[in-house]
Amino acid sequence: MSIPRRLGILATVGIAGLVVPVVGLIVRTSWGRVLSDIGDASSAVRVSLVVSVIAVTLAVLTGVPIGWVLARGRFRGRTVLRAAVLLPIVLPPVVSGVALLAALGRNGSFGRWLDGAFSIGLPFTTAGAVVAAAFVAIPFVALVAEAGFRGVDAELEGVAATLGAGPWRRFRRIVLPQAAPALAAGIVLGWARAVGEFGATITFAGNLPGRTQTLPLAIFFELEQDPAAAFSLSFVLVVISLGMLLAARRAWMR
Amino acid sequence: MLAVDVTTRRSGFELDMSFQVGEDEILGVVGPNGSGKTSLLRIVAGLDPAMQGRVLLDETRWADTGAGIWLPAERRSVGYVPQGSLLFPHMTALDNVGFGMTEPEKALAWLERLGIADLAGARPAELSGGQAQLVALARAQARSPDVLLLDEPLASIDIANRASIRRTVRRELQSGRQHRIFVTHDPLEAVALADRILVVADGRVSQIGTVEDLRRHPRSRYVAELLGLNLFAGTARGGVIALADGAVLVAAETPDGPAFATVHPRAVSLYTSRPSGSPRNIWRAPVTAIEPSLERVRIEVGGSVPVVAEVTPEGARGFREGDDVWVAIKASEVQAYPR
Repeated sequence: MSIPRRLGILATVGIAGLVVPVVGLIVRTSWGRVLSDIGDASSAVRVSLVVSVIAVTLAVLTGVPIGWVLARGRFRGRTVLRAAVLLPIVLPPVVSGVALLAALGRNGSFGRWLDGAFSIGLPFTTAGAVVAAAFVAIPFVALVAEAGFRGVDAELEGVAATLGAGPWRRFRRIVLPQAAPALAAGIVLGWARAVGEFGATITFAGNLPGRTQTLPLAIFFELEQDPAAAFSLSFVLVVISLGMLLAARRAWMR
Repeated sequence: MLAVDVTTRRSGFELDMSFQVGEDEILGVVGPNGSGKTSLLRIVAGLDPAMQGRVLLDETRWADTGAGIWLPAERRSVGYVPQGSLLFPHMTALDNVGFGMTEPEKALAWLERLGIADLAGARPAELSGGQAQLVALARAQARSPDVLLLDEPLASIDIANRASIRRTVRRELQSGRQHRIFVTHDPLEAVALADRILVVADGRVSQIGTVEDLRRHPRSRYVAELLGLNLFAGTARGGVIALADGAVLVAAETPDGPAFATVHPRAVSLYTSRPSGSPRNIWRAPVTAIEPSLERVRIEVGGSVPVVAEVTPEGARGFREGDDVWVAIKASEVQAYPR
């Protein structure tokens, strides 16, 4: 099947627009410095790892059940619930950060209670960075999990029930294995989103080196002081992201 | 004894049925698509929480919504073979059978029993419709349930394997002491496999009885058509049945009062000119349809008393749709019984 010429031209322009910046970054990267730049940014790397892994764990623990509720639940207001859950995907990240501050900040309605009852203060802490990253990662996991669960024939669960399997065993033995590829993809996407989080993190958790300064924040501030280091670190993130994309694709396509 | 007396309602469809199935009995549920057959199985299996009424297995109440009792499927001793098998696609045939067993290591024995031990390691996607059906049957039977439910057990089987798989399904159905219900749209299948037949139409029990009961005394046009019979309804007196529109049918014997009468299509003779001789029922009407099949030709005749005749292909040669023909039925071929 041949592609209409107009579509081909527009697609080429778009692809060039997507590829050129990445190529530009690779060209500007000074290969000799990459390793030492990573070493200098080791605390940001560590914060990024800790924050993103905890955030994606939270996202899986809550996003998968949310996906299940959205896929199988039969109740009024499911559409509204789905919109509410998916909102952070379309929300500007800085708005997510402002919203988190408004709710969980020291003067926020919920934050004041947390502080008073448990002496827990989230803003400008590593825990706050985790919250910010999880806030944007959960919807991705939930969205992909819902699609995965929808792909499992509900009738199979009925058959499993007639074979003596209760709800949890049906979920674990029938639904989960079949939805596994989708869930794996959701986890990878959620993790990628958590690793890349910038706006909500800087708004809610700030930019404290060693505590809340993740790789994207380090890159942004390095750009003024040592642009070459910013290129090195960006290059590393490109490689990591590409790896995750391939992993997600494999999980998706399996 | 499995006693079912239930109603359920779902977006424009209402099911309302009451019947019983004995231990050791095979009940065949026949009806057109969309008549509520699958819904009925799902109610008995415990897959329809919205049902109302009672499902009792001997003294055990599986459901008694008046008393607030409804056991979910996993707490009923039931085996369910859904239409299209619905094997778990991520498990081998053996693991499918073992899924519900307390001793899954005995799953292979069930595959052996159905003659498909060689398929133990196969994934459902690699099985033919008939093979999948046998695995699904083994999976349902492996828990030795008190009630076995089968939805169109022979529908997904290719014709080449139909005979052998039908044999296996029949053998499996007829062995063991269980309450067995199977659903089919094919009356021949019901006649071949069932001890009793429940005819469903529009979510209701149209008629229930042995094949012989139904054949002798069909009580609706639908049942008569299922069994391939002409059914007439009228008022009988002294060997004459008055039908609608002033037409009459003469029978050798009739009850007095409202009556049904059946005539087998092969007992209906058609002629291009008025027949001479003894038939007591003779009338003239137009041919409305001619449907050839392998051995017999079905000819539908319209008029005030529509009737179906089955004739040999040779005998059908002189007739064309739209032509008037003479219909003749001997009085001895008209079987009348009270309505």
